[in-house]
Amino acid sequence: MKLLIIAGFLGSGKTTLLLEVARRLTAVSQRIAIIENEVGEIGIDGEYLRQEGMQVQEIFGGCICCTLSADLVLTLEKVERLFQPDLTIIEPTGLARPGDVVATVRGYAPMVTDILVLVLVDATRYEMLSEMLTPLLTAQIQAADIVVINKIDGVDGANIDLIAMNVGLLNAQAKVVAISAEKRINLEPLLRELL
Amino acid sequence: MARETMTSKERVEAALRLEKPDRVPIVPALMVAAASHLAGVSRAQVCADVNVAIDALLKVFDDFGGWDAIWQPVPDVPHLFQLILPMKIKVPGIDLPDNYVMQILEEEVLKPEDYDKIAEMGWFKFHTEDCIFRVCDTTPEDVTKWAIEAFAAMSRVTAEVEKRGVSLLLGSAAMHPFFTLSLGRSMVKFTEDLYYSPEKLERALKRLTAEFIQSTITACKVSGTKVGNCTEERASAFYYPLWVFERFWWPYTMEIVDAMWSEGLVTLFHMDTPWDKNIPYFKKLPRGSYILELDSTTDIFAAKEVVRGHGIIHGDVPAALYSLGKPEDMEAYVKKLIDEVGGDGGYILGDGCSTAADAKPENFRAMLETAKNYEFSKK
Repeated sequence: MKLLIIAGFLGSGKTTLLLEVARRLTAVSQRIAIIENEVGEIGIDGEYLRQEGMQVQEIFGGCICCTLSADLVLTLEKVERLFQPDLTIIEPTGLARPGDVVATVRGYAPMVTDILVLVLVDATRYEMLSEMLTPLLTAQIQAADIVVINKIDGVDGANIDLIAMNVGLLNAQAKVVAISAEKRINLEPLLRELL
Repeated sequence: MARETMTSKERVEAALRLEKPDRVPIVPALMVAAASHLAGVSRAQVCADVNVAIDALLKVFDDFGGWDAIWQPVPDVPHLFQLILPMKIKVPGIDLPDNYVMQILEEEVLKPEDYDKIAEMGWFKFHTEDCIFRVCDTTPEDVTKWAIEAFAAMSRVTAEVEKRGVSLLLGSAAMHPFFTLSLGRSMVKFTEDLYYSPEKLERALKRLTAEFIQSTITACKVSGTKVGNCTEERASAFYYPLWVFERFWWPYTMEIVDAMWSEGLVTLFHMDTPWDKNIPYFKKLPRGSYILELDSTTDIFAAKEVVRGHGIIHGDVPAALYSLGKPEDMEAYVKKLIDEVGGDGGYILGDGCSTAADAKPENFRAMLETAKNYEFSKK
């Protein structure tokens, strides 16, 4: 099973991007399953997405990197057994470190063969968050295979370059893509990375 | 094989004095999600009625042969939890399917202007006269009833533990002022407040701290316990750099611990997330005045080295081990905890955060049996 973890701090645009990615991959005949661990401001309409051909599982009541690790593993087993997706997308809570989710999956979910970690950073709040939540943002970025600088429609080009440079200093191996998930700006290069 | 030479109460008290008891005391952090699962009752049932929740907890205690102290004074049923929690809760059986774990929603409940209100009128008055009605559809009469219900629940739990010859570990269930405000504002907004308007926030923290001290000391005295709870899941170096911790968390924490200690009370810090970089600060507190309740993401073995002979440690059987491991894995981990953390006393065996909501019964039993027998089997 291939796994895509879409992580990032609260309000960074994870759900918006997840829905966009899932729709676009489904449109090119990919079987997509979604595991949602966050009840955010933007709800995941499970029934609608099922009609669109996706499978949605929700994990409530905690964080999948901590007390609900068993739920995550059991949900992955269920998704594989019932749906056999081409790609399973997990949205952990914004307070999670994706490295901890990866550790749980690597330790207890042998059906997962490939894991891709995508971390969103909010360009409009990057300066404040990087000063105030340095350890969390650093850990999130350092665990990423792809760092997506989101909400670029809300900042100028110089700011985007500065954020990209900071991200590069924290994780030189990660690919960096600048987008606006909501305005659907520059999503194609990101999708090419995912396919 | 050697046998027990202490009662459960003596064992816990020895650990609280940083001494080595006859064996490591066991206090699982059993909350309603796990208690209902292990007792075979639906989560909707325990969430609807605190007495059903107490029955479930006691059934687990009796069915599994008991342990040394019951962890919390009042089960965490949603409507009683709302008495201290400024957040909306989705409840199994009402908002969620019967066997889901209750869901706490991260939303902006408190507004920036509420900091001034809290500083002026105090948290308790603000919460019970205003905030609680923002997060649940209830009436002032119901809030009064819930407070009476919580007190009755604590009385019943206290009586039931006495009948079983054990004790209640915690006399209160409160959250650190920093955590309370972060939960109510949502972490995003709270972090913005720390950055843009710290003075307003600090005035509210000051008022909350004074009330925390007063209410926790009162609750411990009423329940006859020596330990007051202080939950904090968001101040560690997992999220914030140390300068934030030093300015917005540590001074209030020292004030709380000093006040509690002056009354002969120990403060238990329920510390979720990794606290490795923050642990050395606790050595500035009086010896024996605090318990670090670690959730398995902090390195408990390294923490022990830092606070050995100075602070008490409680924890940290990981949730994944309860839910996904085998009894032999559990046995091996509990032995390691006893050997490396419990070896010279000042240690209480417990769970990482709380007993996993979907713990396998055989793993829960393996934890208890290993802890009860391992040290005697070596003598």
